[in-house]
Amino acid sequence: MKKIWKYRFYYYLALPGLIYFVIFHYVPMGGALIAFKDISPFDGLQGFFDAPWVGLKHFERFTSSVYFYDVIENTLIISGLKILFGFPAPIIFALLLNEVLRMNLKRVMQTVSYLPHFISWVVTAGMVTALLATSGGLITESINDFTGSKINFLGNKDYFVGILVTSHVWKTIGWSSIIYLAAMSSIDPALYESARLDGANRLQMARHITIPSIMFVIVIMLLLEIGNLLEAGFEQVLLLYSPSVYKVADIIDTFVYREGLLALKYSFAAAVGLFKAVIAFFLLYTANRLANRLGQTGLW
Amino acid sequence: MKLLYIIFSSVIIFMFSTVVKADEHDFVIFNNSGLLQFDGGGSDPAVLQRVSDHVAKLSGVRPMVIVPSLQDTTEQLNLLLAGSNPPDLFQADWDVYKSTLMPLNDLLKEHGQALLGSIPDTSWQYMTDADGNIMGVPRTAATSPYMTWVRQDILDEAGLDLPKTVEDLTAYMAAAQKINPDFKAGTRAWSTNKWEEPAFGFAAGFTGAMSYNAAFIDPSDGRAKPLPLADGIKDYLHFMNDWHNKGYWYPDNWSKFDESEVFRTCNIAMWSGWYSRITIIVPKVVSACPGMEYVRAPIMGPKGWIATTRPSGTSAYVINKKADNPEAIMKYLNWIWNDKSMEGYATGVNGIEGEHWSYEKKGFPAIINTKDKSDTKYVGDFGLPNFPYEGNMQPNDSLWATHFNYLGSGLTNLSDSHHPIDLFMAWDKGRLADETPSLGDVHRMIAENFTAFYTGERSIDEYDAFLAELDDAGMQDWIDAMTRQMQESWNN
Amino acid sequence: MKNPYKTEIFYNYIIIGVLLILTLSFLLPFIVVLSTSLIGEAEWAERGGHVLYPKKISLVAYDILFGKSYVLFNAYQVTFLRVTLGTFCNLLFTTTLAYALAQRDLPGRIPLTFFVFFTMVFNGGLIPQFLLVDFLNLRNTIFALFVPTLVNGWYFLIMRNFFMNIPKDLIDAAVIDGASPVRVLISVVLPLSMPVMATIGLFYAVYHWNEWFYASIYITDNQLKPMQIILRGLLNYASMDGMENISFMEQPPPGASLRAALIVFSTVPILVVYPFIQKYFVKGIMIGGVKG
Repeated sequence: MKKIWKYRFYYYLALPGLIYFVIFHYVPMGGALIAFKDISPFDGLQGFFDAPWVGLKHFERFTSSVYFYDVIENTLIISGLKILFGFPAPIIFALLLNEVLRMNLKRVMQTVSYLPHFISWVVTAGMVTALLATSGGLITESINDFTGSKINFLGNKDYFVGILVTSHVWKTIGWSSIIYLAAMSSIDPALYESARLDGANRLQMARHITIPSIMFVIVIMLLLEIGNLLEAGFEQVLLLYSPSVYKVADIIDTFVYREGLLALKYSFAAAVGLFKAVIAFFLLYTANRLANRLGQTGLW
Repeated sequence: MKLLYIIFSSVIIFMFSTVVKADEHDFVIFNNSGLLQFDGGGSDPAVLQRVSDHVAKLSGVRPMVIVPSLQDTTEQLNLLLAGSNPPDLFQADWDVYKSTLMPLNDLLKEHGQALLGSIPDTSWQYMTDADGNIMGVPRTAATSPYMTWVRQDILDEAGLDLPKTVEDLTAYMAAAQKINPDFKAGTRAWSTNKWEEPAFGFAAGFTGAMSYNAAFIDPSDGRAKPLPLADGIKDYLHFMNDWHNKGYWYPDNWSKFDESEVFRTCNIAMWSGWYSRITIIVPKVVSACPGMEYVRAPIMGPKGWIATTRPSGTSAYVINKKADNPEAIMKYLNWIWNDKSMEGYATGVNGIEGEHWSYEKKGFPAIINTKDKSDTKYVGDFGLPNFPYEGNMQPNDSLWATHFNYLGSGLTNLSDSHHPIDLFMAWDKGRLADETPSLGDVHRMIAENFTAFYTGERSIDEYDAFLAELDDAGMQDWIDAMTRQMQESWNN
Repeated sequence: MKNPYKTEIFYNYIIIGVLLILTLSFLLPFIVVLSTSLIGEAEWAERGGHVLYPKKISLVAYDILFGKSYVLFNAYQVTFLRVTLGTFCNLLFTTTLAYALAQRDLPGRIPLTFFVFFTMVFNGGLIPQFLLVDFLNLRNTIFALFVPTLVNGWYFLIMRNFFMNIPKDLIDAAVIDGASPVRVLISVVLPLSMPVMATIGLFYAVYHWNEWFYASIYITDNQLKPMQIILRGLLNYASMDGMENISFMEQPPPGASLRAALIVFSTVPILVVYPFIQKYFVKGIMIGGVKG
């Protein structure tokens, strides 16, 4: 008890933020219950209470679909590949950028690197479609000149996921590297000085100084990615996919989206959302335990 | 620390003390009719006020308009309806929003005589539910938007007449490719995430039946069945696959492509898809392809017309059952869609007569002179487009001529397309989806497999296996649900 | 033995080479977007929507964008207010919470952090949030644009971890001098945390600058619509994914150049502001001196 009094100022500091979470996150959280009801969204609050309780009906609809396993598998594969390639990329990019000595060049390259982040997926998808068009697309025609065959990339199940991952990495590498660069800038330069004097080369300095110093950022960002494992990039997939590639490209969110096109399906969407949240929670909990065990501060 | 709290508290107090004042109005319109597609910011406030006064003077009522945000209009609408000040008038599929709507029968009788006169009787059929309630004012009509288009310049060069049968069409493509091997036939299998587009363009010619829902009644058991079960469906699939093997199809038909870019290549020898690609996109890119000219070609297959008429559906202007002043709303609609005068419609869409527009020729159709929206600064907040009127108010502008001419003559010409059995029926889509929980799976399965059959990825010999898979996915439930609805609609 | 100096230079070239290729891959599409925004209707009809350079510069897309000046000016004010007031409040609430929960000995720290973390995974959804904002009468006010998203859970965690990473001796020194927690925060911790404050501030600011979805559902009053809504109202994204609008008054798509102009327009302010923030990232390395 005495400790609480001693730390009272910190509680005062935390209070406004906590109140925000209570009001804007915990109060509406009851709304997640629409996953267990048959809701008609327009009846407002009263309608929420009046709506019939249907238990696990929506969850059953989801899990009993003939495409349930396909959709989950696609989501995990696409998301997994995006993490596999897209997570280290900004870190490596930041490390490379760190090595550049000419300030102006470094600044320019860094600024240019986040431009893709500002180009919306609609335009990016448009560019991808134009580059990969079977007749006239820049990339397709170039490949045709070399190999003599015209590949329909966007309709090809073997290439489609690769296209998703590549365009995703391209779009996010610059912006994601900002946080790592910010962390790197706090490293005491004296550490590098003494390492250099000891004869360490670049790679060794990166391995033993830079990376450990930014590890606390890497961990938290990795946890964020893991928490988003079931988000495989809805907008991007929706803009690029088609029935030809449903088998590899249909993810949880596009599945729910098409259901919503048939009729308003708020309860169904809420049920799937809850399903994803529960899984994300367990993933994060496990990942965090692992991180803690490895001596890192994770989520708590 | 204290300072921090003072800041917090003042922010919070400031937050709650702002008061929202609303202008005086009789009812609220959420104008998601599509007219304000590119004008998310609305009109100049001063001009809007003047037009509002003018409208109030002419119609006797004063609406307030919410300009929707274009990218998530449905989401926005649904939330507004759930909130504390829901809009009174908006456009929606009445069967989906049924629980929030007011039946219009009495309102129409008392205040909507001119409106009733302006809309053909058949259109009201789409608006009537199983109990005889008219749930909305029809937004569209049955149309034929999926016709086949061929190139006049290619016909001329090859010395061919307009194709009339499927064989003619195949011969046309062969001749086109002799002239230029890059000439291809375009269609879209990826549009609206549905499988209907090539099917609406070709299937009926081989099956004599087509619909996104029930395509035919099976005489052996009286049930309403969908296209995959129709007799002759394999002929349709063979036709599509045959063209694929011959290299007639544009390769990206089955994935994604940018229509403007594709038409600009000048290599589309045939188009079977949404008409506006021809009436709107082609005129814009035609300068890049001198001589390129498309003509509408009604084609007959072994079992009839290959194109299918698209039913009007349940899209309507609807009134919220919580509306305080429904009579005012009906008066307004009666003024806008008046069977005697174009004045209401033209004013709502264009602004003040004399200042923003004027008649070139009165009557039905009327030709009017309009000014550019950036000059008038009024974007059409009060305008409510409706099918009869959209075609009847023609701007005196050559660039739009193609499109409007087509609206009048081509789009509504139902004589050269197959009439589906559900042409005048209003499907209750919400109920279909409720009674067939796995409907989404069935549609995906059809889309995926039809595409595979077209491209040869899956052999058509496996068709029966495909039908078995459809059954596993819940097709029988769908058939039962559709049969029920069809029978109920006949009993009315 | 290889000359270490030469090896160093060799690797330098490789690194610069890789970075240059990457930079080009980032820059080219943006140049395409920029060029596309500067072509006119006729050139678009002839060359298509992705050009590397305009044959003839036409400002018609920007004309249309700015032509709506009667609403645009207002929208600017709203966005400016949103970005400044919003980011300030975001940082205020996030920093105080993050700093408080960064104290390793704070009783109840883990449950409190879990309390925040839980909201990052589970939420009630869009409708309950909307009803809440509606109930609080915040609809059609500027507050609806940033209060519901006052603290982003992930930014909070990043900031907290940064705070936890500050060398303890620096803080202890200040505490021994008798400073209160707020004083320590303001005079010691914040100056040391400039990089993360700048980064998180940037993230929040860019979020406010680009965000349109919540603005569209909470704001229906035309006078209060932020810039992104107005600008996006000029485009019809529906024509991209093939969703057909049933309206027969289908208008021609406003053109790739308009869409491109919108992107250029949304990005340029960030490009202008970013160099000022960049100096916070580069400080440490700069002091680090020359290698080799």
